[in-house]
Amino acid sequence: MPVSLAKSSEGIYELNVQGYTCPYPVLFTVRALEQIAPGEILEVVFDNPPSCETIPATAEKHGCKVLEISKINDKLWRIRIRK
Amino acid sequence: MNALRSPENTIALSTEDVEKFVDRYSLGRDSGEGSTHFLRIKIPNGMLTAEQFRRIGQLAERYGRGYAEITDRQDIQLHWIESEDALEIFTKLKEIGFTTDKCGQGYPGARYGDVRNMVGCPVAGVDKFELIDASPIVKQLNQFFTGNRDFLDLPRKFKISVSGCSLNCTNPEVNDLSFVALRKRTGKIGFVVLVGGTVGVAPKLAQPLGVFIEPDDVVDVAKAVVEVYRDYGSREIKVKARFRWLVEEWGIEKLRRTVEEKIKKTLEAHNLDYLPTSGGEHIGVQPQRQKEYSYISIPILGGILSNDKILEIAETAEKYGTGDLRLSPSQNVVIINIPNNHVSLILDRLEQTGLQVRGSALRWTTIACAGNFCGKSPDNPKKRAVEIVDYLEKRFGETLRNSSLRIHISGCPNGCGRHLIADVGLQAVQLTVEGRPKQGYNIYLGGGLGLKASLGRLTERGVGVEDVKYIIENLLLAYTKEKTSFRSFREFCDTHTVEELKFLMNSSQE
Repeated sequence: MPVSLAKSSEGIYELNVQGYTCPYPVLFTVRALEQIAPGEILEVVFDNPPSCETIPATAEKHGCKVLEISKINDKLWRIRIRK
Repeated sequence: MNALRSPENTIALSTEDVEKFVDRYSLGRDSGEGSTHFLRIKIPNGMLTAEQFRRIGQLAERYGRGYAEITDRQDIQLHWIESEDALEIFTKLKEIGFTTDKCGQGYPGARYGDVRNMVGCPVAGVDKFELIDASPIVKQLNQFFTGNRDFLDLPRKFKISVSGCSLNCTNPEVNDLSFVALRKRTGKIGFVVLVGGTVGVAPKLAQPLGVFIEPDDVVDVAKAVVEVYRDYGSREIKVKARFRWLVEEWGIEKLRRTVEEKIKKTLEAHNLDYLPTSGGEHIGVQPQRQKEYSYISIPILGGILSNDKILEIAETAEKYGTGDLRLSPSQNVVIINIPNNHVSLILDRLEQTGLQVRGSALRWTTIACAGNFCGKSPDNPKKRAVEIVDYLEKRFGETLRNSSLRIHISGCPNGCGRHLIADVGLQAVQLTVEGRPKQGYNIYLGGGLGLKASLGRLTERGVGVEDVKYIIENLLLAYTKEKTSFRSFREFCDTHTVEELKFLMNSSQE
């Protein structure tokens, strides 16, 4: 199943990478960030706990701003990144 | 980057180059020594060529600060791996011919477990005393399970070993599923099956399934057992999701019946209460089944290798042998197919490079986990292993040369250093002394596999790291004094009460 970016509202995109272990959530996040315009928001949804650390670190390395890391439930997280 | 903007407001990312690795390659999570990810390369049966070893060494040099570890499941583990280098590394690893663990252990729930590296005897096919060369079976199992999507979402990890040698060096009793070669009185060779072993926080030695199977049935039985685990193993909470809990809940009879139904075959009943030998290690230089050749097992204390040592071993194997290497479940490297007349020369050469091939047996039998990287250990177990063995060798000299003593060190109760099945098992703990944090170890004594297999007894808590070697020294001195009364250190421990052992380890025996 190819990974895709869903536009949830104007300038906001969601990337769902549930089921992927490291390093894939980070790799897909980088690719997603390449697809959106500066100023737009990327929300990454994942169930791989290490990604709580690795996605923000990588996003910042790519010059993006991490707006929020939130827990959706016991097994799911969301990270909001502004490109 | 090409992207397809669809009318439904979705963007399909171009990820084919990534997706092709998803089922066979991943990185694990590190949280120590400044490393955030490790790469655990599965080496089925621990068999690899010098060229493959060299290329893994090059990966270590390029991406992992020139450092590599041999694990107790015959993997090679690299640290300091960056996520963004992963595709490059996976591509190279695929060319080399290996895959990695799926490393789903980071998930909070009971899912995404995979079948870990298949452990087999490192001297399969060359061991003079083996019952059967089981390495082809290990390769078949590996072929079947690797990247097989039907088995990539198990409740937890699943560990399989296949043992064909007379030492049962694969530690069958602490695997989820083990096949152990057995020659029946009729001369027929097959495998007995053990199920439900683990040395984690809820340790349990594997139990016999009560069957004797043909070598040709191993793959089918393994597939059936793993299917049972996948379909019926608990997914409610992670700590109760390992296979041992299902075995306990179902009982052996139900498990065997279900496996038989799955493979549509009644398995031959065979009662075996214990393995006569188990958990041994192929130490030093040994003659091979092929008369003109020997194998040399190189002790790698804690499994720690530098890129330079990898290159040296690879070159030696190519120059003097057939370029074939093996990794052992006790974290050592074996060069096989060395012409007998080259053995001394090679030992000299290896020794010159700092590989202590003429050291005491403790160098081969001592193992330690990578607790300094995972973030769960207050101490560095591998460093501690080196310190303890160096000290004991200096202290006891030749007495330790052929000792069967095993020291296993884990950084936490998860027991990755298998501390519960060693003569002396050490588990790191965080202490508070006079209000200040201090590292220490809980000491377990008398664990072991094979005849009267048992887990070590917790004998002393919170021994300061600097005192551990002296505690072991005291115990060994006491054992040496009484040695003639016992067949082994383990028997010595079994004969004494915890209180007596405590007294001995805390008393100078001089």
